[in-house]
Amino acid sequence: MWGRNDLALGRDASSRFLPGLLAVMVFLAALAATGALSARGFIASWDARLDGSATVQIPPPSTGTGTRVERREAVMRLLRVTPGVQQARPVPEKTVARLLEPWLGAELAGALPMPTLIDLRLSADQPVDLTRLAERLENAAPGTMIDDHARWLSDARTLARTVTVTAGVVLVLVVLAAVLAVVFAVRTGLAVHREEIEILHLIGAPDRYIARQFQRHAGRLALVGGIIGVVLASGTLMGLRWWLTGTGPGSGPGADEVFSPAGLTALVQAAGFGWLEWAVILLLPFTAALIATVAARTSVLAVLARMP
Amino acid sequence: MVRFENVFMRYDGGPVILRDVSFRLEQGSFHFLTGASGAGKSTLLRLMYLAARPVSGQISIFGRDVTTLSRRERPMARRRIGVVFQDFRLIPHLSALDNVALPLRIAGTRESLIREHVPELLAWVGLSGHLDALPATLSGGQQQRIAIARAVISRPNLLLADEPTGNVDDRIAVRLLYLFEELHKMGTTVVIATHNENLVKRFDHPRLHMEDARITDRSASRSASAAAATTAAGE
Repeated sequence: MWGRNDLALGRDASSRFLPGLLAVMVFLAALAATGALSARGFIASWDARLDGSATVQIPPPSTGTGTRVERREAVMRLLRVTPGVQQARPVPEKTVARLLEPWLGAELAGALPMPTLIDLRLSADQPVDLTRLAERLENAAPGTMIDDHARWLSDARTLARTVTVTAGVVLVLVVLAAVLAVVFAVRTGLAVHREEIEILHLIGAPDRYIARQFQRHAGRLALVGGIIGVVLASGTLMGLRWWLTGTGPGSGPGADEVFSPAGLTALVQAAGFGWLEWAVILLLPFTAALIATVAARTSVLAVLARMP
Repeated sequence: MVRFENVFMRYDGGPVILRDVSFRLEQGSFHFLTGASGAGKSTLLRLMYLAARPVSGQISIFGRDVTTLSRRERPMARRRIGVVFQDFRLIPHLSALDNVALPLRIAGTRESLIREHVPELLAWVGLSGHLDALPATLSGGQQQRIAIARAVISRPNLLLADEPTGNVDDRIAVRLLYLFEELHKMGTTVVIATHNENLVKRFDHPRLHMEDARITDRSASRSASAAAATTAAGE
């Protein structure tokens, strides 16, 4: 890649703008790729978290429906004997209040009657008929509902697919734009160095010898641009993540954090970087260099083939 | 070595530059190509160094019809032909050494051999102290000698020079001609296009004279003419 150049390609105007242009392309590609991979990771993470789980919500008691404790115990008794329910764990009232606090305010969250929440862990081997269970829960404590998160997960999957497809389209456009930029730079270079190329031809240089000079140059510029783009993208992504989480890198969300601003933090963390994301980002400069090399070679050979 | 048969040449529908040109140059010969400006000397050389194709006719070099060479085949044929251009055509950002080394690098010669042979040749043309000099920093005569060194570094079978003495004074012109004679003695076929009659008279070689797009005269060298005259007188 770093061989001798007989043509002074480094002095061309394209040598100044191409690395910057490719840095922007690689920056966008890095964001798009990590966006797609993060969306995928996010869904995988929440699938793993919520698959086989459900939440029972018992509204505060009204006249004639028993006390809060009675209603909860009636539901717990039913859940304990329901085949397929592995675990039923009431969410502490303080935790429920804390979850609602950001929306209602500390004072109101403490004063208003809160629903009772019960986390369920369902058996994978023994599927639970949730419709039948919902009817029985309604009988045990009127107004009680069960949510298996299916609708939420379905919406989240749709969102993740949209992000992935959009990122893919962005990637394709970025690659196309990069190829066009390289081809334009190469054609300009061919025009600028036409006389030197003619000399090389006349002293016996085959087209591939001349193409090699352009492809090395384009590959080198793309690598430099790619490294700049990746550094900028890494900084941006880490900064974004730090800003969103407020605490920097950390573990995923707990079940009690889902619907809070802390839950947003947790979502971002769940969609956090793994080795795959970093590998993709680190490979981008080399991918850019490879694309630029191939684009330059193809373009030069095509143009030279039309020369006398 | 070089054979032209009924060659016609014109550029893009322009006037005829070469009209029904036929001649043959034997291997190891030395010819001057003379004629006024516009007579077609440079075009004839361009056809010989494969920079152009004739409109019609056949050109055979090294025993091969070069008018039908494919784009892939031309580079190999060109490597057997050394060319000294009238305007030198050196690559301006390359040093004297790198300019001369170009044909070797194109041919894939090892860098250690290049570092050995190129300085030797530059010393031979009197430029041993200018290996790293850029062409722009050298005089016309020095640039001409770099161009000659580049043309001969890969020991071509055919050496073509287009007005090689056009940019130098008579003293350097004579030195350059001696240089070409040295190459000729080593077996290279040499063709020098010039309108410098003094040089042609000074060096005893046959000439091809061009006028109005044709070769109008094929004079033998004086020594050959004298030998022929002596033989005729003896008979």
